[in-house]
Amino acid sequence: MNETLLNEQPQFAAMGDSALMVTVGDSISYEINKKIHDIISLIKLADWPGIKEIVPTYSSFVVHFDPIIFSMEGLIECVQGIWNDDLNSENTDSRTVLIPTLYGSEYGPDLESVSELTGLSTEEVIETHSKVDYLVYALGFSPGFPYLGGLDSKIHCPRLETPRVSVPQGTVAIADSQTGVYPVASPGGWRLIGRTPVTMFDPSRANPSLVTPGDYIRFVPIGSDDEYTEILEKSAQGIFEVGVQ
Amino acid sequence: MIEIAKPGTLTTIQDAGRTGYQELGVPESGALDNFAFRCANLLVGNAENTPALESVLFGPEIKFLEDTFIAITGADLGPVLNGNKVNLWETLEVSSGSILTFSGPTGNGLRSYLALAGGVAGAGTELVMGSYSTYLAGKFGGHEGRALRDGDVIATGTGLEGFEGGLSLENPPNYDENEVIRIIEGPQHDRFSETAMQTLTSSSYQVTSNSDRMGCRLDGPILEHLTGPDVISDGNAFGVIQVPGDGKPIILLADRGTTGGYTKIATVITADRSKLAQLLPGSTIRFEIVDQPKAVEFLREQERLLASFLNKEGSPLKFKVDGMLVDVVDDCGRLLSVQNPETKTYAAKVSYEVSEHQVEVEISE
Repeated sequence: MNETLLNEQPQFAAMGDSALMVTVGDSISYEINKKIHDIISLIKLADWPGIKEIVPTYSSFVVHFDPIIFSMEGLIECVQGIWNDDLNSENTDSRTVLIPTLYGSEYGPDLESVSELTGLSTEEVIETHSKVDYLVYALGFSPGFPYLGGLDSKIHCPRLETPRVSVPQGTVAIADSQTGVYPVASPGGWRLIGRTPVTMFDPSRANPSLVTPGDYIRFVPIGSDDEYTEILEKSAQGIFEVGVQ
Repeated sequence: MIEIAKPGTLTTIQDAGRTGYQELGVPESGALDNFAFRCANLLVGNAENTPALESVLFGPEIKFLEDTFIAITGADLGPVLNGNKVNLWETLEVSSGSILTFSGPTGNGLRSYLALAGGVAGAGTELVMGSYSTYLAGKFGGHEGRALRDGDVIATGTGLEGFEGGLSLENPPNYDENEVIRIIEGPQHDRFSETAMQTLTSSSYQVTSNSDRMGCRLDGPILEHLTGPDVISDGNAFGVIQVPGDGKPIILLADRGTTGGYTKIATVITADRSKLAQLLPGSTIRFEIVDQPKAVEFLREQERLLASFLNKEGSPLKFKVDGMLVDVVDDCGRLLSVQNPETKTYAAKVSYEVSEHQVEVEISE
């Protein structure tokens, strides 16, 4: 938690005439990101006219608005006005989404290499990876791809020298200080340690993404191939519900 | 219904785009030339955000399977209906069996919009995350998440009852081959050398053929960073000019990734997004800095232009504020009017920025 890097006051920068970038700090830290999600909740509660959408990232967020309804100066003044407001506790409770994950074998072909690189047994790698609640800092790169923070430094590993052409949907992977889940099959250079049978992102669902910025993800090890297949089938039918705490 | 006999270079279904899903990493998508798109719909009696076809460079060949009204706006890609050249920016009446072709780009713009009375929607063309827009990279939206192919039969909706056509836009836009694009500095112009902004606004940049719905890539004098091109991945917007390590600017468009890690020197004003959509590869552009109030004024002007051919009839809505009559505009700044008013007094909630007022609205004769 790097307290010194959280700006006391937000920095505002116009991004054209209908978007405002609000910078909260200058590093990737839990505290900065938490402040972003709190401020966004406050803006949503305030329900100002003309706000189209708000997009959070690691240390800043962008407010898209209609400048014919709401002026840039008015918006800056309003954001400044709520900056130090407290959120009611009911709005600060964040969700932890439990993602069942089968580690190793063909689902996580790099688990062995991670074990070798870190000097931990594969069981220890799994335990280290699955005991942390990872904050969803933001989603990006591709629809539904979560940027997660909080990977234990014991299992930090470099990226692969040669990226894979295709990483299957649902693959759980690590690279350097990051971990994530590939919501759809895509090329990737991260080390693959497991796979979840749940559908992380589905454009046709009412809530397309299982997780939204500000949520936490916990990977829960699956015991057997049978359990994996059962969840996969239920997910395909749209009847599997992930656990949320 | 219509049948796509030939798809042309790239024809996709688009509407005004997806709003509210960028936080999930889902791009906005939508018609790149929002003005031309909305205008096309209004010309056929549709609500302005009705899905239409966007075509690039070489247009499609389309067979109409029923009588309808259509309008073609945006670039002049040489539309020909049943062998006869037809005008852009006006309502066209089309009978069943008619064939629309395009003879090819004329140098006046890149993207053409075809709106049909009732819009395109139906089997295979479903609403995804609140929008009909095709997002090609994500394989969703539009018609089966892809560009249209020959043989596709696309269902159309029901047009406005009693619509008689005969609409046209006076003084439609022309797309210049030496376009001046207006920008606002920032959000990260302080991450560039002192001369970079000078270079950007005093040089000509060429639109490369490597441009698409994600971004318009430019070639020209290099813009120098102060301490490197990377920032912690942050958000962006339509029209943001980002500069990667090679110093060549890229203007981000509707299908851009929702987050990015390159410095952003400036942003194109909303009123000039249509110009960006119409830039032909090889054309030359210059940038000119304007301030915030000017940019909003240009946007209002554009909205008034759209409103001008819609509200020709009807009584304008006015409300009384301290005895003075004031125009009523909708969310987009268009003057509201009422056709054949029966009620003379309305109650309304009016908001100006964060203050809300209860007012009475009277129709003036």
